[in-house]
Amino acid sequence: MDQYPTDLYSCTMRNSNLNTWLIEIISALFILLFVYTGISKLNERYIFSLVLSQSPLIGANANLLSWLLPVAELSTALLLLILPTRKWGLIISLLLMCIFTGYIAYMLLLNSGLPCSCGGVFKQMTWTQHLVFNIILTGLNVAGLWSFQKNKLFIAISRNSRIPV
Amino acid sequence: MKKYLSGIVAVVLAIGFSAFTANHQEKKYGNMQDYTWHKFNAAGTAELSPAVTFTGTDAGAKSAFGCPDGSSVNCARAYDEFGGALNIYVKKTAE
Repeated sequence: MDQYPTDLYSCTMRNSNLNTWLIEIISALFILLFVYTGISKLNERYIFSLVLSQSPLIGANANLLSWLLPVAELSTALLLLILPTRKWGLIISLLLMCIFTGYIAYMLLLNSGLPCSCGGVFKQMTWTQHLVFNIILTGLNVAGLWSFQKNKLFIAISRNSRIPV
Repeated sequence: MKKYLSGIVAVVLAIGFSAFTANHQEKKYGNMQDYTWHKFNAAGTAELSPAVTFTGTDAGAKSAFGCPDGSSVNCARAYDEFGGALNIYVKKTAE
């Protein structure tokens, strides 16, 4: 095989492999993130519930959310782990990241001085640091979903052209 | 099985990190006495009104009120079971 493939088919094959690697790495990153934060929140559920109860947005729903959020994170990690459901895992993780990022932005605008209701070592971050971190992760999530779509398109084109992949 | 390798490694790492950080935080603080803690304002000059309280150890209050390590500004004050203020404080670093 040429070191520098010039035909379109070889180029798209290389791109497909890169997309697959990108999806693998991003999925593993989110599995790591959600399992870590989910377990940390469950370990300190009482304190997590107390911090949530002080938030003006959450208030009375703190106890329910203190169970719901870690369970949602761990379920999303499971969806990402299982290959056939990985796409749904990426979609739900994007939804979660948007909700968390929106909540952080709201708390920053409110300037309440409340502690971050985050799991594990993320408690050490300031609200601004956490917002930046979440925006970066949301971007990675979008990149992962985009790669998924590109891979799907490549497989569809290859099937239609009857060229073995 | 190879396809699930990265995911399984991520899960194992996450469980390891969460176990490590949970134990690390518990060992850091030694005071296991339960008090009712009243949170201070951001400047550390007065307690919040209406009172924002937490019942538990100083480590729990530190975590619940978001008081990072430090020694200059009051973050919370302990009260006994009769509502009497004690000279026991959780302090935070001035921002």
